Amino acid sequence: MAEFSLKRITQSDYRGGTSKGHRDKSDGRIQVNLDPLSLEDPKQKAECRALIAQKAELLIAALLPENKQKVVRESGFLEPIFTKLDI
Amino acid sequence: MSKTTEAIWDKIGKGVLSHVKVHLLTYYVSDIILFFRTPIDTVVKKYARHLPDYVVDSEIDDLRTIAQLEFLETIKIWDPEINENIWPLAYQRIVGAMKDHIRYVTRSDPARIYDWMTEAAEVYMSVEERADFVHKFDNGDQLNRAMVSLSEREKHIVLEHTRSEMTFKTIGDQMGISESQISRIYKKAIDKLKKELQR
Repeated sequence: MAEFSLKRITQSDYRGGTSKGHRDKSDGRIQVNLDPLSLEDPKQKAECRALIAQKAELLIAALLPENKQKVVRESGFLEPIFTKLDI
Repeated sequence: MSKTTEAIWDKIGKGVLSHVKVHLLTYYVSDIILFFRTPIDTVVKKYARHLPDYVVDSEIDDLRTIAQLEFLETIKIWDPEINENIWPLAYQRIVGAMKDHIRYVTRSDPARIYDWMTEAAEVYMSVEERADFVHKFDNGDQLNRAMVSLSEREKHIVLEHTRSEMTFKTIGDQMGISESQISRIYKKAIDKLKKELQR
């Protein structure tokens, strides 16, 4: 499942095709690398966290029914992102 | 939002959104599919209305699966900052993927669709006739004698498909032969049997 989520799957893939001609150098992988931001100001950090939560909300609101949106919001799923960014 | 925060978002925005998408696709994929099931099914049915019945009979399940997969793939490339609604992009991609699939099963050449449909129709008819076929077979009538005209391999495929109701794919996997080869051998064997029975 993780592999499915992390990689773009083309029709050739699920037809069992072996051609790699259409692949870019990232091999269809979704780029999830996040480097620490090195922010000192707590106010700035808080502003970044609020913005990330606001942008994540766009995805959650568009893709999930309301009852699940609540579950996702309360799951603390943004914490790993904040940790990676050191905010 | 300060200009500094805007600049930071420009740098990390893509990665953050990808992170959230991967999380949602990993842990909530069934909820997402369930939430979009109705619009996806509607697109599939709408597209299928333009296809011949034989094509729909054999391809509708694949089209539905392809539509769902393409929807999930759309999530991976969708930018909610450009359009908060994923559906317009998903719709275009799903229709494109279904068309691509139909082109693929007709071997990319529209001129071959007639052959493919004829083939699909024959398989459909043989399945429809299977009940009668099995009945005759069980009664050990002349069909049993006609089976002698078949090679061991043909006999095996016919028996597995008609009596055990195994799919061509399953038989092919067992024998190490492709599904399409099994289908061809089966049809050839059925033709042989018909000729024998008409003597």
